[in-house]
Amino acid sequence: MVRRLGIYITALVLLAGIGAFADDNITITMQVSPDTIGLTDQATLVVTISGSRQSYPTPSLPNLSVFEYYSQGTSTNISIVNGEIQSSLRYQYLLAPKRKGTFVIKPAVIVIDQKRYESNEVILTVLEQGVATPQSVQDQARNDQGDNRDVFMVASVDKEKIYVNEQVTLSIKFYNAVRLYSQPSYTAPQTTDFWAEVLEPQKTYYETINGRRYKAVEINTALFPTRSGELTIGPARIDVTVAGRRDSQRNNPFSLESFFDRGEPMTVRSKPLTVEVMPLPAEGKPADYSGTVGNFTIRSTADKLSTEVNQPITVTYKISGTGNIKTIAEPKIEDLKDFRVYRASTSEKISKIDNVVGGTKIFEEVFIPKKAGKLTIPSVSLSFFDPKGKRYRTITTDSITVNVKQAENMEYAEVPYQAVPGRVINPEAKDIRYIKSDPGKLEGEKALILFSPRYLALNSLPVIILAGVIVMRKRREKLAVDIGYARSRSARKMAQKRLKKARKLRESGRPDEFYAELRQAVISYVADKTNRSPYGFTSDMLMELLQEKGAGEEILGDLRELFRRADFAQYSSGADIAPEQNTDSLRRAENILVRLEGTRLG
Amino acid sequence: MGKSFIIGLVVLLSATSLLAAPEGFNADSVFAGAGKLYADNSYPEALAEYLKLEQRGLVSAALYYNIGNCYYQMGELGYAILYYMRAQRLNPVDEDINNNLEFARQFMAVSLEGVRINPVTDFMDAVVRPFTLNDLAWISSGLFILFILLLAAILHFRFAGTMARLMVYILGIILVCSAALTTYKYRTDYMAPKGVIVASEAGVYSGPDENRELEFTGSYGLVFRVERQEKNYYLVMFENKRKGWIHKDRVELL
Repeated sequence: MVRRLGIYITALVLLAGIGAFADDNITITMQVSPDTIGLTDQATLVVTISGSRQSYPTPSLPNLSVFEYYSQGTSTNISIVNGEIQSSLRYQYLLAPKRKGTFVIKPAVIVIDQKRYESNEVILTVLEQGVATPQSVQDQARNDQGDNRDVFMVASVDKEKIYVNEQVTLSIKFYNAVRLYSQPSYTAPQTTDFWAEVLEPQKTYYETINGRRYKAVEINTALFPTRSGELTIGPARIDVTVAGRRDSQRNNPFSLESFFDRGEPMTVRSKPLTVEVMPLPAEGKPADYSGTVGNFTIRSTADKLSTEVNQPITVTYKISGTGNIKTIAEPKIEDLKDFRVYRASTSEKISKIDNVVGGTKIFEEVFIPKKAGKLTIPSVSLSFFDPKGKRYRTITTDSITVNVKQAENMEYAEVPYQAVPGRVINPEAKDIRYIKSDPGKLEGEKALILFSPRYLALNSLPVIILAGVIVMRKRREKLAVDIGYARSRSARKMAQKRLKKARKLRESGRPDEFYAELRQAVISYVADKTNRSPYGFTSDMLMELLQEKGAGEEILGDLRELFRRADFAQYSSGADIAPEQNTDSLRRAENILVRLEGTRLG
Repeated sequence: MGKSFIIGLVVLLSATSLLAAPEGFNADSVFAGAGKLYADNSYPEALAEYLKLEQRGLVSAALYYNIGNCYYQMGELGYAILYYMRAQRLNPVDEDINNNLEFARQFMAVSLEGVRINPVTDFMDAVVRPFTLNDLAWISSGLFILFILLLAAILHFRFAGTMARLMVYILGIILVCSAALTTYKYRTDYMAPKGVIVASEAGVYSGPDENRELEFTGSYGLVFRVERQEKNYYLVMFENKRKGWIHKDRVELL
């Protein structure tokens, strides 16, 4: 929705822009077809206005008092090619003559911004009986039984012998004399060896064939053969559903049978056509000929004739005429010692007046003078084959002389910025800046760091640190609120402290205190681990607890021995205990604590 | 003599001289020699010397810039724009590179219609333009490490003041912006390969075949993103979102 709104707004802006450049390339043309009709027939008059405007006023029609005429509607076409907007508005009228005669239909007129634009005149001949239908069409209108067909299709070409890349106009006419129950579905003929350009508008008129009145729809296509030889244009095809075949249904659309009639699907085809395509003559072919066929003129104009060194001059080469505009190649400009040359743009506008394809192709080249003085932009030539004159022709532009001055107080002249949307350049810029003398760090192309292992590892490191900090913080919080956990975590540390103290007591010759400390180290350790008060936690209670927790007999034995020695030292003041025994007791206590670490006490 | 012939000759010259290069290849002296040739207006010869370095896998913004200048002087604007863009990718803030790139773009034959103006992406483009993707990746990484360390410090030292919270918020927002810009740069410049039309005319077709319908004709300097590849064609999308198939010979990838 937003995208569509964007397109819509862009279109509005573009259309508003069209209005700002009024009266550019406005043309008005008028066509009538067929140009000869019978008194009971009708012709189609088409007025087409084209140009680069947002809207056009309704054209003033000439005096059409000898006709009854009806509007068949209008259609608009907008195209954007290379940034140029082209729009065309088509008015279609049906003309029914009131009397016979040859009538000149005067030009249609529009007035835009107080400027008057006139179309061409057209001539319409009205006969008593209408124009004689070609025998081939009359034959194709009849079926095998000799009756007139309800629908049929005829294909024809205006020329049967042409040159390669010369226009031949294919005309497909679809005739119907009955009600259609569906929109005809048209399949264009195969034109493999041709470049095709559909010639609009499609024409609709009435024609009487073998005494029966048909509605004819005519589609014209300009074909340009791409090779020589006998080329075939395949059959065109139309699928359509027509009214049922019973007379009652056809003649009375309000009958009950007609009401329930779903129609009859039909496929009609035109006959294939053959065109003889001649190769272009080798004789007289210019060296620079690039395959263009038609009749053209060429003109060159420069946007300025006086400039400064390095200031660009835009030269426009405009090629106009009839023929396949798309095959016109860029004018060949030789390397020039006085100019740098760049192609700026190419645009083309195809016209289809009176079923003849032609138009205008514009090449813009930018010439940047390298030095001061009177410099000449040489002429360019265009060679083409003129099929009417049956010969090659070469046309040339005039050369352009420009007066180039050295820029004042500047090494280079200032180049005005030519707008490319979204680009900004320093307005002081004069030419490209000079090369760099320092190569910088010439090395192998650096890989993207983004997915390299070292980049990922570097970014993982702080995550690991953060995880560590979180774990530490959790532990600290637990230590702060869970006394049992805190005591359990510090039990070993506290026991080690006591053992250290015991060691000192042993060395200072106070065995009773030494054994008291050993006992307390073990008891406090178990009390901390099991979150009990060490006060009143006797040796017997400890032994009982350790038995419950499944401590090994070896630990229990050592403990019994340690407590026995401690009791002895307490009651004997330790006077009779050998120093070796004290050392052994200390080692036992240490072993007990180590082994208790491996016992699940909590 | 056609320009393509000259280019072919330059490539051939540089390739043969590469094969015949002596053992003691000195990149700096080759670079300096090419500069002298350029000063003498011998642009094809200078280009051949510069390309020798590139073919040895050596790159630098200055080398690409000088190659772009040689192509510009030879009138090969497509290649000039390509090399200026390559130089810009390595050094986005170099004024010479940016100037010459925009200068060469003045002479583009075709400009794209319907390039939609998106203020958000325009703003992001303006912000990331001075940085390479690696620059942005390092900036984001630095901010990330700083942010994590700040969080760790706050947790560990129990900083609970307003200042600490404010610092976390500010650093967090800067980090998110930096990560977003890095992702944007990666998506716009690296996720799908970018390319430039180097030929003066390049048909953009409705399918990977020259016989398919011609959507429009592009020209040198137009930048596109490659969506996929089939046979000798790339399916490309231009800045105005228009898509089409373009022959590989007409383009170069960045």
